[in-house]
Amino acid sequence: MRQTIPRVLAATRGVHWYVPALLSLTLVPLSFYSYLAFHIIAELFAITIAVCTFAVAWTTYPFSRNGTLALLGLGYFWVAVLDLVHTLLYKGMNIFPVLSANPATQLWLEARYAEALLLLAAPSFLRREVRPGLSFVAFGLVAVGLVVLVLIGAVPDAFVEGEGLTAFKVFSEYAIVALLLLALAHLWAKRQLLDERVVGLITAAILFTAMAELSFTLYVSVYGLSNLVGHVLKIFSYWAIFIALVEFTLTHPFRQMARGATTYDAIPDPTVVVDREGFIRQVNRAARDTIGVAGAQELLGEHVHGLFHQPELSPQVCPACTAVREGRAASAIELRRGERWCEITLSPVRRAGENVGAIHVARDITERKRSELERQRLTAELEATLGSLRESQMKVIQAEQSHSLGILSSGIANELNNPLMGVLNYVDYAENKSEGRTREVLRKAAREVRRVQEIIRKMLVFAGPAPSELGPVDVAQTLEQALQFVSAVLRVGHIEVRQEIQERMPPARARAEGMQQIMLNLILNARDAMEGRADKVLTLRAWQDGEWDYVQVQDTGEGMGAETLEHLHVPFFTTRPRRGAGLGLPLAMSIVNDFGGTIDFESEPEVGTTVTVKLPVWTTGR
Amino acid sequence: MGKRILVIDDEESVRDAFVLALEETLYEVDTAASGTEGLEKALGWHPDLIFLDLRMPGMDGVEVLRRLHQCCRSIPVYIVTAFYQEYLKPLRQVVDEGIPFQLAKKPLSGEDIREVARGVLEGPHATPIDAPG
Repeated sequence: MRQTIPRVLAATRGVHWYVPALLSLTLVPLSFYSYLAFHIIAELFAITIAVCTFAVAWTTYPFSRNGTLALLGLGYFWVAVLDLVHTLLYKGMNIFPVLSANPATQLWLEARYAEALLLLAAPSFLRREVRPGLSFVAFGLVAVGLVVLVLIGAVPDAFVEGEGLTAFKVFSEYAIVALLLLALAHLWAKRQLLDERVVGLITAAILFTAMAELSFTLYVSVYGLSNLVGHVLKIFSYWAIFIALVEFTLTHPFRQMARGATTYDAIPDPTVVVDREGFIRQVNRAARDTIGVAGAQELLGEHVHGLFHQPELSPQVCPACTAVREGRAASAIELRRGERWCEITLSPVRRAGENVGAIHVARDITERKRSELERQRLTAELEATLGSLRESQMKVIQAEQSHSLGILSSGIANELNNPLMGVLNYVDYAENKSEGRTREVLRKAAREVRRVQEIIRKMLVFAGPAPSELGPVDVAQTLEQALQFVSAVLRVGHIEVRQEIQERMPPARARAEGMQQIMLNLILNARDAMEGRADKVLTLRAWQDGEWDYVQVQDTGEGMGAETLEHLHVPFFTTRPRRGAGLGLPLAMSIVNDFGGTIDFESEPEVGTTVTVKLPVWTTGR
Repeated sequence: MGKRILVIDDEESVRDAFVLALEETLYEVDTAASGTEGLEKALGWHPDLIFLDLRMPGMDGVEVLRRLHQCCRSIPVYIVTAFYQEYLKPLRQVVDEGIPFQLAKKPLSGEDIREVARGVLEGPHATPIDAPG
């Protein structure tokens, strides 16, 4: 209890006491000029407040379902009617032929009794259903009855001109105060069931009325000071009741709604309630944070499009705005705002089947969108990679096919060489043995066989095994190996070998097997060229110059004439396999060309031949 | 008495080619259709030159070359083949073993055959010099 009272008093803050206070301050000076005027205005003001109280209670009962407040509202209306009659009958009003202040005083007392009893009874109806219409009529009948009682003189005198207040009047005031105190006790007994602020305000109303009554016990004239104080206190009392009703039936529910609205704050996604035009009516915290405003007020009334939708679109074509207008539920409307993406979900709100707006949730899906785009990009990349992989696979397959074709055709060519050799010699023999026309025919046959032989040679050159990738080849080492390969042959041929090989030569861009064939071929050619010569010197040189590796094979053989040298450059120049490995220079040249290099011949008859192979130095970049 | 030339080749046409090419020379020619037969004739007949094929059923030319080196080291061997590249490795090995041989690529014409035979049997100076390759 000790803690409750301050809390209750604290709860009566914000009641706008200044309204009755200002009114009273205005009225008090008026009372010195015309007490009647003061009385009329004071009463009418109290009556107005009471009627307002009634109006609030009447209209909100279907929602508040609070019997206590409903009865207070209905009751105060009729108390106000009694007050009105009291005012009209007041001494000096000259509306009715009333000479005494007695009827007005009697009506006052009746009104206060009614008010006190109303306050006493009301808390009992906290949990009870009341029927406002019936109660209103019942109260009305009681009020009319009370007025009639006064008019027919059935009420004891309250005021006698010249004598002042009667004992009945004074007793009644105390009785009313007692009833009010009982009402207070009753209210506090039930206070757990009522809102703290309402309890505080009704308490204030009861106390004001009680104080008013106490002041009335003191007055001698209806125009006296205590009368004035009583009426002022009455205004305060009525004000408190009015505020209590407004508090409970209007402010409180609205606060409840506001509190309800804050449950939206628990939603992590920006959520707003919009009307069907798309204007914002409610905002949650996430929405405020997203937009970057502190209070909801800054967003209320704004159009949702400008805050959440794609700025490039007009609200007329914006899919989210269209859905709001049409009252459609929508989900996953994806909209872009600058760098960010959001996904709009709309749940329409209907009242009596009519579209009144929507709950509008705007989820930030930028991260999801980014990863989606990233995924798309990766997929495209992957597809491109797969494409090029497929392409290179096709190339490999094609290379493999042509390689197989090469093996096949070189196999065939080689196979053909055996029977060809037979045919060649059969025809030659027959040609030599025959005469005249037969000999001529066989000579032609031999010529044709040699053509076949030539064709097969060409086939062998082109249909060699598919070359492997070019790579770094150690020139000096390859030369060394080739030399080793033919060292026995050279020894047998009494050939002196000189080597001038540069140390640490960079590798050439070539293929080891091809390189070896070339070296071998050149060395054997040199040997053949020196066959029967007096001085047989084979000089092998290898060096690097800039971007090129050079290999040189020099012999002291018979040399070649200009005509032969020229023929060397003609592909498939027929050389006789009288000696040598039979690979042939054309093939060697074709291999070197393949490496990006060249072969040069220098030769002088009876001095010797120098063959220089030029190969590009291997660089990792190539 | 003419010098003797042995031709070891599984193909009749090739053997014929040698026989026909050398028919009008002073050389005596005999042939063998397999490596085994060739070795027997080399031992029994004592040829002065052997033309040897590489690719033969049964014992191949490389093996024959090795065995000839063991039994009849003095006889020069001229390998005549259409499959030089296929036998590059074993030939290299044979070279490393110090076995001498000469190499010719099929097909050889009658003239080729006679030149080679003369060159080997009569000495290098008997052969006119030609372009390398």
